[in-house]
Amino acid sequence: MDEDAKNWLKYCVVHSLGDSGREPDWSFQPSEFDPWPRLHRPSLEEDDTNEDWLELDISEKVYQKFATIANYIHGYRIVKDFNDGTIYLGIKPKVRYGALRHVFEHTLHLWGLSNNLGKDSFASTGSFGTHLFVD
Amino acid sequence: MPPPVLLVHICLSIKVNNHAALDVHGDGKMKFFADASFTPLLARTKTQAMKSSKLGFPTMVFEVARRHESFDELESEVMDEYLSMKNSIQAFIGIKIYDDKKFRVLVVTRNNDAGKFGNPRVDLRSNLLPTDEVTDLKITIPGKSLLWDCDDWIEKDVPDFVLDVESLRFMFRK
Repeated sequence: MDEDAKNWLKYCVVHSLGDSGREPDWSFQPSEFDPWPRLHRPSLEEDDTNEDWLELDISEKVYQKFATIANYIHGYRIVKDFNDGTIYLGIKPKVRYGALRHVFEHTLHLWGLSNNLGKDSFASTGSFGTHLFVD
Repeated sequence: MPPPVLLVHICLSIKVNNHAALDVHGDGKMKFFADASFTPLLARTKTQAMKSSKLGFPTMVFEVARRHESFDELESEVMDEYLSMKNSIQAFIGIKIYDDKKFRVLVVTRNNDAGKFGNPRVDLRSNLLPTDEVTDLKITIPGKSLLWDCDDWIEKDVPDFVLDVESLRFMFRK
């Protein structure tokens, strides 16, 4: 995927997220924003539609590459879900994900030692590279 | 116990495996992104395999909820997907962080007496907690769940795994 394609997809991500990345997520009232907005693209003349933006359908092969780019927008981490050609976008809070994982690792390490499981009793994965298929 | 900030500097022996995706294909659809997952490195000869990892399913998964995702939606996601009956993930720990310096904790495990994988059950659905105040809340995961299907531990008693939520809160306070 060349730089132009990456930049175009990133442009689509920013537009598709709209204000949802900047609007507060309060604890005292339900959010009015969809937690899984769909990825859209600008319409072309040949689309023959009055809409400026249309849902972007891509193959899973392209998605697998797309999943590795546009991972941060406005400082927020962006995750993507793929279903039948449609890309769904999710925004993650700004927290120290690596540090959180290390807390688990350290506590598990101590727990493993206390139960005589050995030094390397658990493997862990972090935020990226953890594409979890659970069907 | 040292302060949480010191914990991250301690040399760890747990193997971080950022390249081996924990992917399990069912119908070819990609599902959720966990923020961390943990898999025992002990012999599990009968554990269901995954496509790109010989380790089998993780036994514990951690996720920070997405922005604008409600706590109820997070819980539904866990019950319907992470702890569906089609995989052997045994424990889920979720954190929902709000922009008004509040957070909630969700813990879901399985009832291991109920069958092969066990029905998912909600163990903890915390109240709203302030991110800028110390909490004494603890997360307890059955040891049997963490070592689920490990050959040498199937017949043995395993102490619970207990995690101080304070050590997590320290990492996402603002």
